[in-house]
Amino acid sequence: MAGTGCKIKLESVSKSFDDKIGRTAVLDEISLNVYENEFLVILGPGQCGKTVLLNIIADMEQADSGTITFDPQSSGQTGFVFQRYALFNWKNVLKNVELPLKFKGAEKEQRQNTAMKYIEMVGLKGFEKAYPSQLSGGMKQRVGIARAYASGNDIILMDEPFGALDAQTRYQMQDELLKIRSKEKKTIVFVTNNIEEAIYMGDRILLLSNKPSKVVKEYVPDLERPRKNTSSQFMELRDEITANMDLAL
Amino acid sequence: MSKVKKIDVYYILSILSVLLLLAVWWAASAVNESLASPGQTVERFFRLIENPIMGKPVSVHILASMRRILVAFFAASVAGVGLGVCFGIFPTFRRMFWPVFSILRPVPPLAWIPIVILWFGVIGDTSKYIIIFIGIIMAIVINTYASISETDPLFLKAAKTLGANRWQTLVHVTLPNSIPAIFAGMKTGLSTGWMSVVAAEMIAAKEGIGFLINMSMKTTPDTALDFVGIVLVALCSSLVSFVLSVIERKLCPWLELDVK
Repeated sequence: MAGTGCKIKLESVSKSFDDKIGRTAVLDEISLNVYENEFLVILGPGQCGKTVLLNIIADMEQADSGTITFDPQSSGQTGFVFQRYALFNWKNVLKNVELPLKFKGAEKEQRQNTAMKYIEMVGLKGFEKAYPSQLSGGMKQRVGIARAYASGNDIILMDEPFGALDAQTRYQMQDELLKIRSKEKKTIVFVTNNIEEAIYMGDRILLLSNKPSKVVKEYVPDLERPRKNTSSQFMELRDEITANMDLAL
Repeated sequence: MSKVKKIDVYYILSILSVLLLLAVWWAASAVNESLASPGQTVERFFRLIENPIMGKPVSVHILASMRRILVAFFAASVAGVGLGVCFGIFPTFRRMFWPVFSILRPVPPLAWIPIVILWFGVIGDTSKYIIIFIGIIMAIVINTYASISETDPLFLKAAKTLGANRWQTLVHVTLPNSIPAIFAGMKTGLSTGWMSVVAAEMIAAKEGIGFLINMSMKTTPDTALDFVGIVLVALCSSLVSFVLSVIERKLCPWLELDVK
């Protein structure tokens, strides 16, 4: 796989869960590639199994069948940004962002320097001593992004990272994330159920169907950045995806 | 401005409730002559300073009780958190010892007094430490275990994606998340601890507040001396709880922020 620029390759990944009512198939033979430094959006209706797919890539859940292969040059470790932030309330911003480096056994000075670099990158300089409970939702997610970057992994998985934010903050954070990404290249897999967000952010969009999820369609928005959600091309694509998403339900 | 006023109101309410308690006490003593009044209790306290019981000044009794609860509390906190953590993170340990713990937990600490005295004697503090230790540790174990086993899975997931091993997860995530619950267990444990202190000292001690209370039943009933003991226990336990709250606030600066 080396040299093809493919960071993660999923082949026929299936997953189902047992519960009281019986067996629910969640993922149905999903195959996809994630390429180096691309911004891949996985778009799908609510509850379609997008999170399960990310969990499987992050090695937090096991697929029933199928294979996941990482680029041999990649550590196979992924950074993760959660919808509900998952910041540790008992640690201030600096300590939260430092944590992945601490777990690796990095020296204090190196830890702080790296953490400060990412705190500055997400625009939170001056807030490093603040506790999460003092921050707004948007600021919390900036910390979440800084922490994922500080983990040093070249792949970052984002599970509806702006899903808990109000609309205004959501737009700001979308621009912020694109800015961060332009400063430091990473391979990003971004899960959302919001079509406009998908078109605004994604280099490539994979549309998933409802449970059991399959990859229905792939879109590569040929739109100049910064994208405008009022441009005719944007709206055409939005209408097309909306139509397909309705079918996918 | 209005916030300051509100705090003042609560402050006044607290003082009023203490005054009400004193008033009820005073009224009860007025109706029933065998009950010492608050005034008689204060007077008895000063007489106790002038005429020490068993030749020991009242400070010796207070310090004896304080030493016993603090030593037992420290030991029970360390052991209780350790045991609670083991129950919380080692399933095999939990399956082996949780039934034993559950059987022993509801036994009142005082029920152990005869055996403990038989083994460790009346002289020296060992027997008292053990009784009080039993009284304190149960609540700490329960709270620590409950809090650790109920850690939000999101935190554990986050720790894993950040590359934490089991030990790092415990030190940086599970334990700090449980500090408030552990302190709540310590406070609950302290109240059973004071119960155990007084009971153990009433039965097997030559000094301590419980010993003073016990002396109030010797010869003619001396309810004023009993009340001196009751007030001393109340004041000492308030002091210990207050110090514990200060430590908790120092350890958990992030909790202060939630209130604001």
